[in-house]
Amino acid sequence: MTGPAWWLASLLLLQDERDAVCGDLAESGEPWWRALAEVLGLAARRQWRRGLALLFATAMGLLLVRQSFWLIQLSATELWMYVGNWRMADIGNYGFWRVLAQESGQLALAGLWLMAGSLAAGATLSFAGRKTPAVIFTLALAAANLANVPREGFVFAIYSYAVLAAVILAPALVGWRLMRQRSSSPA
Amino acid sequence: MLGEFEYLLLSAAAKLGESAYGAAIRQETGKATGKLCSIGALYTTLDRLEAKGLIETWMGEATPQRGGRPKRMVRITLEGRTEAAAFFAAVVRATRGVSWEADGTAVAR
Repeated sequence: MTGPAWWLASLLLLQDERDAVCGDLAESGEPWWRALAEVLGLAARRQWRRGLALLFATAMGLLLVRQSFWLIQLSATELWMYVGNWRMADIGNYGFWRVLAQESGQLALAGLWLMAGSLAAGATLSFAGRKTPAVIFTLALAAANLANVPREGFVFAIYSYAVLAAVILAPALVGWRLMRQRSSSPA
Repeated sequence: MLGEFEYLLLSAAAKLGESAYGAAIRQETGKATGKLCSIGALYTTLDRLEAKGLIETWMGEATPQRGGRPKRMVRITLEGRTEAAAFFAAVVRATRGVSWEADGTAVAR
């Protein structure tokens, strides 16, 4: 059992398993490259679910951030239009209410889709097993927000963070938490 | 019902008795099949068997030829013996009346 395989095993395997596996490989006199392949094979079998979950959650995270910025821009514009151009006469105008209901419905539907996607991404992250992926996901979202949101004024930034929290972070957290509880409860 | 690789590991562990552990089981299945299994297949299957309650494992002694690292010892439980016996009986029943030729074809006896 030589250096590279031991180093890889210490990175990828838990202590007891690392000792048992490295001991087995040393005892059977495997060459270093074969030992390395064996350790990699075991780690892949152990971690494939985690890797797949991370890949899916990352892709979902990027898609959700992009879509949520579209929702923020559109809903902020609509909101500004309605607040800025408000007239008492609109109350009795059937067309006003019809357009308002139509646009609000579209935005609500888009928000619901985002929430469902975030819930799924959060639930998938729970398969990654540990807290690290959830932290990485949250940090990625936060970094994306900081890079894109607060340049257009304080009020808009606050509004953007509120929408992001409602359509991405909260549902993702709920999905993650629900799946963690489900997997830790006795069968 | 056991899988065939699970059955191979249980048989190897039964044959080795008190000295059943990872590397020895791997050697024993290698002798039976003519090919060493991968460490990944061995350890994930041992985990599965342990989760099903068919074996018990614990960390054993360390030896110099293992670089001072401990062994993962294996013992079959009563449930494991029962499952292995049921699998063997099923294979015997399924094979009854069939003869395998050297070229891989099956002929009814």
